[in-house]
Amino acid sequence: MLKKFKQKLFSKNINRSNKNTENIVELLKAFEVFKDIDNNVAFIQNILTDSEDVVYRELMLWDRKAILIYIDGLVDRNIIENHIIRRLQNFNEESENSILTVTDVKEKILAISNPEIVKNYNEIINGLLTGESLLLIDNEQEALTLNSQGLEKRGVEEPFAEQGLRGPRDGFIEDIDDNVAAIRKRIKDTRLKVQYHTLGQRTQTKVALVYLNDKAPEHVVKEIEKRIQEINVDSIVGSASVEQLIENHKWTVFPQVLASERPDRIATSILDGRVAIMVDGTPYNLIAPGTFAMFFNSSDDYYERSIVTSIIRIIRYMSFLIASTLPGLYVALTAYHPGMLPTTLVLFITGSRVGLPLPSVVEMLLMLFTLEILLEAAIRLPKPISQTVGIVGGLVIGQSAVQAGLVSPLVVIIIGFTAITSFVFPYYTFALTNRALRIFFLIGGAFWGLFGIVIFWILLIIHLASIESFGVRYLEDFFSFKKEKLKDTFLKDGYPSLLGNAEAIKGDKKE
Amino acid sequence: MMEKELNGVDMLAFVVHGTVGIRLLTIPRDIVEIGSNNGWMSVALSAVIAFYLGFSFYWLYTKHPNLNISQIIEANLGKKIGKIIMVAIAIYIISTIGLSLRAFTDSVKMFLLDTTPRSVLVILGALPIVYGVSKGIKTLSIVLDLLLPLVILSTILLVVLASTSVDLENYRPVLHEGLMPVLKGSLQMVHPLLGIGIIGYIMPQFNEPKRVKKWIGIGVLISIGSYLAIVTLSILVFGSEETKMLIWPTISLSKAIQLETELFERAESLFMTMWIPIAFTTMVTFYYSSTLNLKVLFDSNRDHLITYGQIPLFILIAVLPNSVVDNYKYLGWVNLLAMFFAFIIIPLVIVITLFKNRRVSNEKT
Repeated sequence: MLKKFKQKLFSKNINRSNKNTENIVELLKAFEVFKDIDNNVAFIQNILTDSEDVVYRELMLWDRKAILIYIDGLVDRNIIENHIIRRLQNFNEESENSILTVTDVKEKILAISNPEIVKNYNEIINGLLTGESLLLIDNEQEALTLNSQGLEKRGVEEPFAEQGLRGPRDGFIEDIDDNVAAIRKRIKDTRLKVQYHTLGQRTQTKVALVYLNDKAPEHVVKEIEKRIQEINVDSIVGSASVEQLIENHKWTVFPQVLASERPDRIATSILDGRVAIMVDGTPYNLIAPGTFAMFFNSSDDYYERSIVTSIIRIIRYMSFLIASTLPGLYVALTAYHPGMLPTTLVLFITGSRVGLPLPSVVEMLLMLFTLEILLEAAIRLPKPISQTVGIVGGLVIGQSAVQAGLVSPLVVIIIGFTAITSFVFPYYTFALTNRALRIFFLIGGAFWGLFGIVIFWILLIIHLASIESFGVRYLEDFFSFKKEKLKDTFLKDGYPSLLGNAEAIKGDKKE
Repeated sequence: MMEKELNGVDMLAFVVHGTVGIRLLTIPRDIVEIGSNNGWMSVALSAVIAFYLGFSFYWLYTKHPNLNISQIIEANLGKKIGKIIMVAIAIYIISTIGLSLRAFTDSVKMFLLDTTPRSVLVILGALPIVYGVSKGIKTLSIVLDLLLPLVILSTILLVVLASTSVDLENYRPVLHEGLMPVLKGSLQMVHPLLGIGIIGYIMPQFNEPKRVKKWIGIGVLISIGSYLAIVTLSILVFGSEETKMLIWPTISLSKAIQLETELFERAESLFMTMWIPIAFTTMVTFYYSSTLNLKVLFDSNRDHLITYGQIPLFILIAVLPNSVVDNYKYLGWVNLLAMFFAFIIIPLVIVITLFKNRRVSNEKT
């Protein structure tokens, strides 16, 4: 039987495709624990061949052979030594003549939370790979999987990319159970539902849907659930893979799901009736459905006074306009409509452009390109060196380019201003969106002046209006002139009449 | 059946955008030519036409639920006559889109891009219209809702800024030629106001049709208010004689703005930029109506073919006129067609519906 299995297993190239991974799962499902313990060990060794980190610890349970199998590094040694092996050895000393079954071991001996009796090899192998340990006893056609995971984890730290001033300091870590617990800690409600799914044939990544079942619209939850169940891929690494697999529109620069590393942000979104999608192995968890206004709201907004927050929000919306349009607008005004600017300003611009070799569009493109390189370099380099990039970029390139007579000082000012305005967005993903839009409007302005920019803006608004994320429109907050929806957009209504924007996610469909 | 996706309040944007469009730039001259300095009364009077048109479409829908105006015409006047009228509607709408696109590109050429070839501007102007309609009614409704404040704000801004150059003497003498020119002048408003016909095509998309009534009323008041403000201001700033000479009186109005500080030169270019979305929204509502009309005409559900099939037609119409004057001549003809629909076809359909309703109720008793 074993030979047959081995032939089946190695006759195909198991390392390549998704289909073969499925085959292995199907094969494993077909096998159950054998009565003879040696057969079981041989079977596991065949499957986990060339894996020297798998530990096979032999034990004697009275007069029967038992074996404890686990993967070193995935388990907590303290649990293995003190709560499993020592308990089993003590039992041998304390008791006399006894015939032990798997159930006896589970119920009377081990000091482990929820050990499970399993028969199927698919469950056994999955358990081993996720850090559980396996206890096999001779002459028993059942085995015991024991919860002994003990992966090293990072401690809770302050969020790295989403800093806040008045909010809590804790961020998510890479462990899904701890992350779900961080939400539970904030929402102590029986209606908070947590659903687990396992995604990725090879990675077996744990994904959780967390929502309040009385608040989250049923059609939204069902749609997200459906999309997640439909995922059939080899691997899921991080939440971005899930995000890209479940979103509606793949060919857009706008994110339709918000990724956050702040538990307070995710918790308030769940309280609004949104659904959190938490993925194991990443501190970035997702909120769906994402709407346009969400990306302008930082978690700090909810800790500060309404009027001040509203002013800051208006500044963010204006920054969005400036950061995306200003370079294009400059080119449009100087190349096509200099008459629209005040005479003194036109004279200044003309004066600063005297003797420059490049047309303003090329100048602008060149400087934008430089800015993008600087931004990219500053992120990739280690922290101490990245500051140097700022100095080299800002001072050396900026100033010397002007002094050398390559670009006009006004272009440097505009690029600088554009860069700063694009830093005010609370989410980095959205800042990236803005960088893409900038090039789009620069092309519009360069070819057709103000007309091009306005036409491109209309196209952009149509595009934004057409995006739908899980049955909810991207611009859900802004149409139909509903006061309730506008309460958490560019203005923020006072607390506690508002906690996020519960109205927005109801979407088109009536519940 | 189509999903009903629109809320009552969404009608407001459709009514305002359907009626306030590129004609806002020229209407002061058209009206003043007939009504001279009493032109503002013509606009005020045209409110009656707007209410009549708006509520006629609404009433017809309540009598024929879930049918759009082309289907209602077919149901009332029979298949043959219905199809003929639909052909006329198609000619009317497509030529309106084409000529508006032309008027729009003419003004863009005049104030923003004087050296760019007209055909490029026409194609660029048509791009968002086609894209908008291809994305469906819900998307359109969101876009129109978002752009509505722009129409109102730019009108208010123009009124506030231009009111610095007002000469109150210009509105006198009042009614010196009697009432007839005023009445005739108001007929000039029929063409822009027939844009309200979008109601006839989108009514089946509303989830609570009864709530729409209020917003039709408010929409009409806003658009008549905008026209009234612009026409009155043109008369007050330029006087009726000068207004008659201007091709784009509304844009010239922005030229008249005098500010203490030198914030921006050439305000007309700035206002021209603001009118671009306004022109777009009107054309897009017409285009949407046209698509639905053609669907009924050809009894077809092939969305893509019908939506994209019209593009060559209106682009051709847009490049057809030789000059701005030519374009106005054609727009005048379209206005006649608009009057034919407003004062002959719609009353006819209303009378037949009334007649049929009475017969049904008689049969019941």
